[in-house]
Amino acid sequence: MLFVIIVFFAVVAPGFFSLSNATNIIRQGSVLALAAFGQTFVILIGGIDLSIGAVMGLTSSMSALLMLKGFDPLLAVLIALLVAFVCGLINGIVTNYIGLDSFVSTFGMWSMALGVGLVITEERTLFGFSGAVRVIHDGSVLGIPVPLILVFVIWAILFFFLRRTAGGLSIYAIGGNEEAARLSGIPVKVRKTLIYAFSGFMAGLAGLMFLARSNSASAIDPIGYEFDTICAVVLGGTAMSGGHGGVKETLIGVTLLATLRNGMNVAGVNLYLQLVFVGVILILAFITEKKRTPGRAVTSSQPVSAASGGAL
Amino acid sequence: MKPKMLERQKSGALPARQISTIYRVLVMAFFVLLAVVFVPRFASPGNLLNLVRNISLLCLMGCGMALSMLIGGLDLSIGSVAALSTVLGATIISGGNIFLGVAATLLMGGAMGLLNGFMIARFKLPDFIMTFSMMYIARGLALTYTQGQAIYNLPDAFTWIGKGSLGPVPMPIVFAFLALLVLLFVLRRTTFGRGIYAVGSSHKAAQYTGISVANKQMIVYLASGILAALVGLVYIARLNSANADLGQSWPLDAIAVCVIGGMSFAGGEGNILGLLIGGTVMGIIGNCINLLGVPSRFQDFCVGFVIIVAVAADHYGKKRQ
Repeated sequence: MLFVIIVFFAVVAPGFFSLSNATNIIRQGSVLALAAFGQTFVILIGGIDLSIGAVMGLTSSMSALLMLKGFDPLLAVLIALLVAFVCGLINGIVTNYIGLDSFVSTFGMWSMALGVGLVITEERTLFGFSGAVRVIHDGSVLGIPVPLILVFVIWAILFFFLRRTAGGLSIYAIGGNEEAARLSGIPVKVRKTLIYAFSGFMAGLAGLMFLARSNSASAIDPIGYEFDTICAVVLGGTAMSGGHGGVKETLIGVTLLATLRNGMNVAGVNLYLQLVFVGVILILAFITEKKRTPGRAVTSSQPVSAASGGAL
Repeated sequence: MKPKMLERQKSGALPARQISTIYRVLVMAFFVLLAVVFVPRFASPGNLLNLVRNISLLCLMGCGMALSMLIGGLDLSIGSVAALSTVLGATIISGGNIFLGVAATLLMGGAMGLLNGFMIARFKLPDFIMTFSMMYIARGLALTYTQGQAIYNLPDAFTWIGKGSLGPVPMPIVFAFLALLVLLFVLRRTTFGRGIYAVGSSHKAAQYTGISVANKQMIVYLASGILAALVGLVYIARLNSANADLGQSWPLDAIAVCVIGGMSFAGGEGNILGLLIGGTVMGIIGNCINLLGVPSRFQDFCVGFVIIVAVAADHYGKKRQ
């Protein structure tokens, strides 16, 4: 499918198939990739995180505000990441210990994080803060863009974690069958809470990347990323019911979506119509996923059985 | 309060359910008392009329959401569907043909709703994904159509449905009253309504008893789409202009109304009285936030916070019982 999209836009949009545009796609996709990794974990345990876009907005506007107030950029970034982590932690606690549907708790957090973001920025777009953060988006090491390195390093760590550690495999176990996971001695509630916190933290990282890219911060601009992350995760082939999929799939989904968005931009598709296309593609991805499901259930049952083995 | 079928099925749980309804009425009374005592000008006739008007709109929004939540789904596309159908309808209405415009709006809303229902029933798409996608598709189409321009010059004969009144009763209240009455009748007195509760309680069990789940889903989403378009019509009549931005907060508001009213995402739970309570609580919260002069940007935070607290309190109450 990726191949089809690339060929299509290479033919339709002159300037799409070039090295500078390829780096452009990577830099654009990095924001989405970071946020989508967090979403992947939440979806793997059968939940959903709708607060991502708002948390991104809160993180980016908070770090920008702190920098404008004269804080050291590093300190500002750390505080903002902590706030994002706390947002995720609250999601996790409300979902797992009070027992609300993840949909309600994270939708509520969406509203609250957006509200706080709007209040602290007074509904303005912030400019003129220290440019130090831009390194994570604009910089390059040995000619390789920093966002690419960052995304791949994080991806590799998460991939290794999910496939090769007991902690990672327990996530598949929880997503596959929560009750069975609990009975086999996995501290389900703690793990799930931490996963929401992790998703919040990743949304924070994505928010910083967003800040570095646009060099301005507003609470409302990243709204909608929650949709894109779900889209990327599902396009990659991770099941919404939990227990199947992973960060490798998400990376594919992110690449697809980023390429598609970029291609539509280069081809001059109206920004409004892009919403329509992305919506349609999400539906199509789901229908095709349904068709593949019987075959996939057999092949991807392996991590689940491995997980229960690892947990015992 | 609830269909007889449920009473028979879960007769053991009935007292608890009645307690939770009483509990909800008390919570609502508490909110009213709080507002009357602490918010200046809350009890003035002008404000109360305004409040009831807003509550009607919230309940009207909640009706569609209630149907989809009762069968265990949810419709996130109501705001966008309302926006798309009203911008199309408003073009016709401002051209002078009111009846055709209104019909086109409702038809468009129904078509989008039916598409939701069809995809969910036929392709087994999760309700969330389908309506979430529809939210973006309809919004994108509406924005593409208007290019961000509002449509003005709606004739007075049309704006009557939003601004006018039937006798002494403002039109939004009339619509909400009728919608709640119809819903009450359908849910309590028809096989279809009982089927909705059955499907919401368990898709599988309903299927085995010979109820067509797909059929119920299609009709429910169709109704949700039409209701969304209806709310949209009342709104544009009140604002005297149609805009593609309409209703961005509606899904969240409507979910809040339903959830505060005691419906669960699992489906099969909740009733019309709950819906009315949910609408009233949400209406009072919004009204008080306005009267107290809370800046609009803080309202998002308040709504999110109140939803979580209300749902958590409800959940806690259920656990205790």
